Amino acid sequence: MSYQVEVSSLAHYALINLRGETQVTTNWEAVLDVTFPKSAHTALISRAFSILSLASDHWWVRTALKNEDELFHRLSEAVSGEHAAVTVVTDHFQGFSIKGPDAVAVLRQGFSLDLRRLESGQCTRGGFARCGATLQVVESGRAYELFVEASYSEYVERWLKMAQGHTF
Amino acid sequence: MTRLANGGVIDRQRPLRFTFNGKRYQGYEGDTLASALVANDVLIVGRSFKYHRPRGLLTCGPEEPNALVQLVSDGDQPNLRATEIPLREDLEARSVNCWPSAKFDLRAINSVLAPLFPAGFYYKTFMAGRWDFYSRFIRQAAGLGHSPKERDQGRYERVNHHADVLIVGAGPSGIQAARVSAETGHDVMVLDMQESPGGHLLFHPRQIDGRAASDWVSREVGELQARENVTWLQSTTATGYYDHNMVIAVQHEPAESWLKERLWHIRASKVVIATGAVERPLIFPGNDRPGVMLADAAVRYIRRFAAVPGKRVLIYTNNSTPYAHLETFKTAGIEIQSILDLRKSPSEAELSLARNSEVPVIVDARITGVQGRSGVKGVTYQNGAGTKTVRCDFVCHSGGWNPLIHLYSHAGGRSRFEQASAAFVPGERAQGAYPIGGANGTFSLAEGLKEATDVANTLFCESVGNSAWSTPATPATEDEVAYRIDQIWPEKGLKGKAFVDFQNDVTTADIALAVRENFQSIEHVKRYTTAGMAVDQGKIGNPNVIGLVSRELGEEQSSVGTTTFRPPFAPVSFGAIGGSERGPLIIPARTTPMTAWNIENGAAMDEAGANFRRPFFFPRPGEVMEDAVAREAAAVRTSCGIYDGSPLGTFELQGPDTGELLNRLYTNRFDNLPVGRGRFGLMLREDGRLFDDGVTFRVDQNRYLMSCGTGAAGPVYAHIDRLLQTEWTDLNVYLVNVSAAWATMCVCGPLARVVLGKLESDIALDPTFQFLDFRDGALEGINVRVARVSYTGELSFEVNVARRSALKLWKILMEAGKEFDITPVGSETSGVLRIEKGFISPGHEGDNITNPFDAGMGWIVDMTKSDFIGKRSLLRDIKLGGERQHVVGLLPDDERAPVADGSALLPAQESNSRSGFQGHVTAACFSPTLKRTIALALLKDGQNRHGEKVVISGLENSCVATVTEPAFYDPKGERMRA
Repeated sequence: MSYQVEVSSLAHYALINLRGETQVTTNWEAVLDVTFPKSAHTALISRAFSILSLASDHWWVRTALKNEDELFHRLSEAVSGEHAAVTVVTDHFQGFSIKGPDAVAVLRQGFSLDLRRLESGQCTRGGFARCGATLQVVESGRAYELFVEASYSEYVERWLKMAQGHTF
Repeated sequence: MTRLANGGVIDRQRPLRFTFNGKRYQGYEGDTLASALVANDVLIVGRSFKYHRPRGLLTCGPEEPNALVQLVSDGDQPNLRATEIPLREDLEARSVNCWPSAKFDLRAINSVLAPLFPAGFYYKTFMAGRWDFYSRFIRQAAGLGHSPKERDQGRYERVNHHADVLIVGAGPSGIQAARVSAETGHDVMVLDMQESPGGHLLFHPRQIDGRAASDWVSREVGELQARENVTWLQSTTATGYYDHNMVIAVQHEPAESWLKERLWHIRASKVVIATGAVERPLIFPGNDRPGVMLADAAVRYIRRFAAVPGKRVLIYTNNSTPYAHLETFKTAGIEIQSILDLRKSPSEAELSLARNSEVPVIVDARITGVQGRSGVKGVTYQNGAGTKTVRCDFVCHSGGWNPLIHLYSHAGGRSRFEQASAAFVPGERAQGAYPIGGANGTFSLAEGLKEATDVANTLFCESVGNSAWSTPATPATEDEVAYRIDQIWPEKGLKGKAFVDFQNDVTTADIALAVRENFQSIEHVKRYTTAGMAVDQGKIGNPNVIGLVSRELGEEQSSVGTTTFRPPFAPVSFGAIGGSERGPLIIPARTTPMTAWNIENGAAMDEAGANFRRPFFFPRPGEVMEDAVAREAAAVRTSCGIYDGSPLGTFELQGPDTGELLNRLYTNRFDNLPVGRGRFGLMLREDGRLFDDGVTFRVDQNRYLMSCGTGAAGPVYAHIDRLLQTEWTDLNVYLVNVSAAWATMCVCGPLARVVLGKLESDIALDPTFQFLDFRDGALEGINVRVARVSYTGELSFEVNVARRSALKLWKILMEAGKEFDITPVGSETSGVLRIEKGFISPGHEGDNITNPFDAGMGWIVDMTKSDFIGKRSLLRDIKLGGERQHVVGLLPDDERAPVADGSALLPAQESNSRSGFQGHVTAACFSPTLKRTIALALLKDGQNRHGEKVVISGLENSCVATVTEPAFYDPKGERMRA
């Protein structure tokens, strides 16, 4: 017996960390042809990529792994000479998909955040199961994506299984 | 079997067999273990803690002090209250604290020896001699049950929850508060420790809104449970109230069949404490005898479980409550001998109830003794007419009501004594806690419901600032007999033991003795007598203890004060505390891409800091650690070794002011570091002591890559982030943690260049690739950054690669090095190589006192820089002067002498100029390269004592050693620069 949740590791995605003040975001917006989400803990999700606003000067751009190099270079060039930071962090994080009617029942075991307040499209960072984690709400109450430092990935994968109700 | 033919909420169609103290009984679904024991006429449920007196059930709820049992059938859990254990098929339990049985306990000899065990006897009796001698015997006798020996197979879960309003208790006040709060749209959570909602309405027939209270409860709770904004949990005990309105609760047997318990961490904006009240015992000789029970508990057993505690009862009271129970006793067929009322004049309403039930009331009467040891045979009492004896087989007593203010107390609330109810009730507001109903000293049903409505209304108005909404009506109730109580204490110098704290065996005599011995503060009396301590937390006994202390001191109860109730309100299992984080999840273990390979290849793993586990060494068949380390070290010194350095911290720093930031963080300069080069840096704390070290590379004009120690990675990142956000906001630098993005494999040894040279690569490994250079390129098509860095003192190439490609490249390197017998190296070996080289490790040679000059690292401190963290403290050290401990090397005269880390250094006998402790060994090993024992140490004035002899004094071995430079191998570093 276990919760009705499907947990899987995310694969084939690239994650690029952007740091910069408002004036440089317009350069990145021009590269991606979108308007960056400016409010913290909001996200913009499109078919090609998603952009998570993590702080007033901090974003993640997520895209397909095959686009990693090209996008990194375009984003870097867009802020050449400016004070900004573009860093590939694909390998630093491991993402997990947590889907199903009991998704919150699993996540609330690790997050002390009030998950019910998070709406679809929002994201947040906090302590999760004694690790740091970033959570993106795909569909409030039913589907989430969780990113942890990759060195914790095996532990978190096991933790999520245990939280689902599986035994080892 | 004393079970009524009808009544109660037990399911008579579902009989359950259970075993208690080795004997088989039968109960029903819906019973607790306690109610099933009552129904089976089991009087003795345990033995008292100190005197081993036989004890029976005193209460019906979580406040039960006597019926602590070992639940054998469910994980062999100790210390559970029989009143809280739902009966299950084949349940097996036994009494604790008795041998060989509860009925015949040899330790009951303690009762005879009672004069030797007064309050504080520990402090008086065991002063002479060694405590550990006495403790062997005391510990054998002490304890309430034993720890389970088998692993608990139950599954537990720990969850977080948020609510606008948390209501603890689903009695009438809690239900009403929930209803009003839910209607305002608040997110409401209700916790109730009973299996069913209703609180005292489960046990007492009342009318609400003109119908049976049970109907009102069913309707209200049904509607509330159907609402989306209400979370409702039964069988859930709130055990503690912490800062910021966080309440922790244990849910027993949740709906999820695979779970045994769930621990809730609930953060609420407001907390309504509707935990009710528990009945207080009266103090009289023999009040602990099996068959002496609180009056309300008896009624609960009868009404909820149809279990009858006896046939002939005597009721003893100082308040109005038991008068309302007469009808219940009568209906159950119990013969009520009389009511002994301590008061001189019960109210007319009370007397009317007695007359209606044809029960004689004897006023101004005191019980002076209870006949019977294992059960009640009769009671002797005194009144104006003299001394009389009444035959009965159980006694029901009531000393008034104690509001359950534990959670309020946990929240930081201070209670006050209320004369009218003779009870400690909540005082001023504490955090967001709102006590209502019985928990607030409001014992009337009608007033409790009104209070609930008012409080819920207040919460709404406080949260939205709108008092214009239409408050729901408070349900109407029928007239009640007003609660009246006269607090009358027993006479001093009672004959026979009268207990005030049943669980800790504290008597009136103990309290009197404590006060006579000048323990005047109630907190001191508590600790001296143990009254109100441990798992009981004074639920039923505290007001009596305080009352007796006030009487002994001749002061008002209100001036004596109260003790502090501490969490948990009820014991919490270790399983619930641990939740699912057990076994492999007990530590959030971190891995590198090579962890699995290392384990598969036989590595002995060890903690490496920051929750990483690294290979300690790689033993081959037949090798012990020393053999493996010698082999691995020899490989690095003579051919080629490889180790996984991925756990090191790696941070990317970007921005025009990064050079300046590094100048401030490190003791040496970084702003002049050329692009493509790396530099070793030493980081100090503000007090000038060693913090961390590592190599930083300049990737381009504004981009640097910093590495730091595994254990220091978290603190160093937080340190830099804090400085950038709060202290040095003028610096344009962005800090990004990329520790896990990079995997690091160090190929080291004289043949390292040859091994790497076997791979297809665009990276030139020629002599122009110098020590502390780095080059980007590809090895076998895999993008890498190769750096000339050495931790071993040998020619070394640190290959950094994206995590995704790491294992593939590692295997390629192992294959390429096969012909040179490339050898994986563990952390024990790299530690040995470090000691041979005399490389300083802040984790070893830094002891919170060591500064860089002490460590012989003055060469890396640029005091001409305008500033860096720790500079001011170093200037202070220099100005103060004096003798400091320096890092030195030690060469024992006996070249194979075992030396342990931490061994003390003492002057050698031939030295007359020094005495006493001189320092300690920071790291020692047998050097496979030098074929002798070597050590690094911190020694007083060590840099000026090279050539001197010292004694290395360990716990098991001592030896004489010569003080040397702290570098034993290739001191000029020619090999690593090759």
